[in-house]
Amino acid sequence: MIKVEEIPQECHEYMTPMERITNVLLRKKVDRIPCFPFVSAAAAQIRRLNYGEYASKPEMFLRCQIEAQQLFGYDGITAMPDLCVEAQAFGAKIIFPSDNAAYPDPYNPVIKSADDYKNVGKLFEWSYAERMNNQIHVVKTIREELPDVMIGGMTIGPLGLLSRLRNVNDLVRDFIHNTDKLHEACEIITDIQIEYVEKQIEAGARTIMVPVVLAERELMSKEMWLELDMPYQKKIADFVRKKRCFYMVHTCGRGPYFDVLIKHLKPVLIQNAFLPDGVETEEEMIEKYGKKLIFLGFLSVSLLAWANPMEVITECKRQLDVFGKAPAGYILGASCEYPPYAPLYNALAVVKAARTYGKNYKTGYGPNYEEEGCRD
Amino acid sequence: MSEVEIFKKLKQSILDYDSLAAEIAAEEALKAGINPLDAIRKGLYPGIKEIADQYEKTVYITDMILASDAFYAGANILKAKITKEELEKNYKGVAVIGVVKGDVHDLGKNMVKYLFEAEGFEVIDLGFDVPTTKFVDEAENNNANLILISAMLSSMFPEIGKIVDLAKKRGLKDKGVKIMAGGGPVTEQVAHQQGADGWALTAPDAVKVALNLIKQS
Repeated sequence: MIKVEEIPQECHEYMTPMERITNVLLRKKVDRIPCFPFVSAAAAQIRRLNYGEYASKPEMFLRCQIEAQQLFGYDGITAMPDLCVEAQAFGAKIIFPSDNAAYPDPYNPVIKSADDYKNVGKLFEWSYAERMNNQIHVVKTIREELPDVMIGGMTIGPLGLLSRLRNVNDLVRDFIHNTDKLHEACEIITDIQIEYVEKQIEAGARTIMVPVVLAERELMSKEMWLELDMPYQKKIADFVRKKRCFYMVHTCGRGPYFDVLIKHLKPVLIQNAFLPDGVETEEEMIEKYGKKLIFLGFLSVSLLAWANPMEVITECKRQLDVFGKAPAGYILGASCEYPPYAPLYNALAVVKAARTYGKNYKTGYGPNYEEEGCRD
Repeated sequence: MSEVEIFKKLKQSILDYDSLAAEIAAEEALKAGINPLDAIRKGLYPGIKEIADQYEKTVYITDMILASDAFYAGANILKAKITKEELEKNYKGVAVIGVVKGDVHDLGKNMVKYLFEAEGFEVIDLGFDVPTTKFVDEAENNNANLILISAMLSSMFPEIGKIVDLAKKRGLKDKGVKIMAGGGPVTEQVAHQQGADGWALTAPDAVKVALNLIKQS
């Protein structure tokens, strides 16, 4: 049984989410630690929508995102209804189940053979990219209606997209047998994704989050990632930086390769669900990588789904103790997307924990920095 | 060529991910009069096992798929020649396996399937995006000993619980059917929270856990 001590009073917030996150990046003191529970599809609960309605009706999606942030007060929004936004634009038939996240029709992949890779560019046309255009609209509207909130854009990267256009087993075989054809497709897709990223930035996205889930020990070797995925991810990363936007990466499998991700992609922040490759403890993760980038997370999705709010607050407090003093900074949040089926009161618990245990936070020093420094 | 040399050749074909070499070695085994089941057990299986044991160390999903392609290339030739009696000798039970509804990531599921088949299980592969009822229907229809559930998306965790609940409702748990859950984000805690009897981090561990669960039932 987890024992919860009496929860202290919440801090007085005197910064906007945008100021809060920007100051953390600049290593300045903030009123409280920023928090990002990564509520995306779960926001459907705000209007009691099922996933199908939520993911296929952009206006509803938009209202849910805005109302969820207004209700809970977390600091950032990365609005993406599911991971099939880009696949639709390349002709994938998207299935919208009522009780699950959307996915491409697995029985009818767009890319049926390795010879189709070279034609992948011909499949794409902005005027048919309904879901991508909707996302750009979503970013723009959130930016207009919530100008003080950090709004993030996203792209799933070239191989992430190909995994939604081709049978995954065949794609993996292509990693070995059809690398040239695969590279050709990645080149084409990367250019389109860069254009997509640019449109999101122009619409108001201040951060771009890219899943780099192949850079994980359970999926491929470092060497293979460096050869197959890194060059294209780097192109996207360099572009985001050139646009003066914050480049962030997301991993959610076991043993993410922090070393090569940092070396080649130079993200300002990393969100991870499992400890990095070659690291045994949270303390070791801080020791090894804490100076190099900001950590986001490490609240497990199962905790958010099944724990009660007091347990969530207790775990947030523990994580603030462990990660709070990470030299490059820490943002309290979920290690992956907030589970769509998880009760939203646990998102509120995360925000509450940030407001109570994350007061007067300064990068490298943790919460309670110069207690007297609080403006109220 | 001696029996030992043919076993070595079969094993090496898997380690080299060489489907053609596996087929040739399988034909050679049959020509030499080697029991096809022995050729799988002592030739192909040690190869796939060696690969799987190195998973996440020097071996990744890519390697597993290529190695299993070679495994099946050889095994399909050998399996066709196995008599019913021989199959029964090595028989460990029936396992129904699939990826939960709404999830199409079947790489991990396939890895588990390969090893279970190689170990002597009859595996009923339901594929991916499998409705809850299908897991239980197929387990019931095939008198399965095990239901193996794979989920690669955290948003799909509740599907595991739904399968467990339905299996209980239909009395499968009372009949001794064991349920295991796994997949990238599925931790031991998640598996047990959803009511599964077993969990394993890797495919070789899944075989060990399954054999233990069957012993207990």
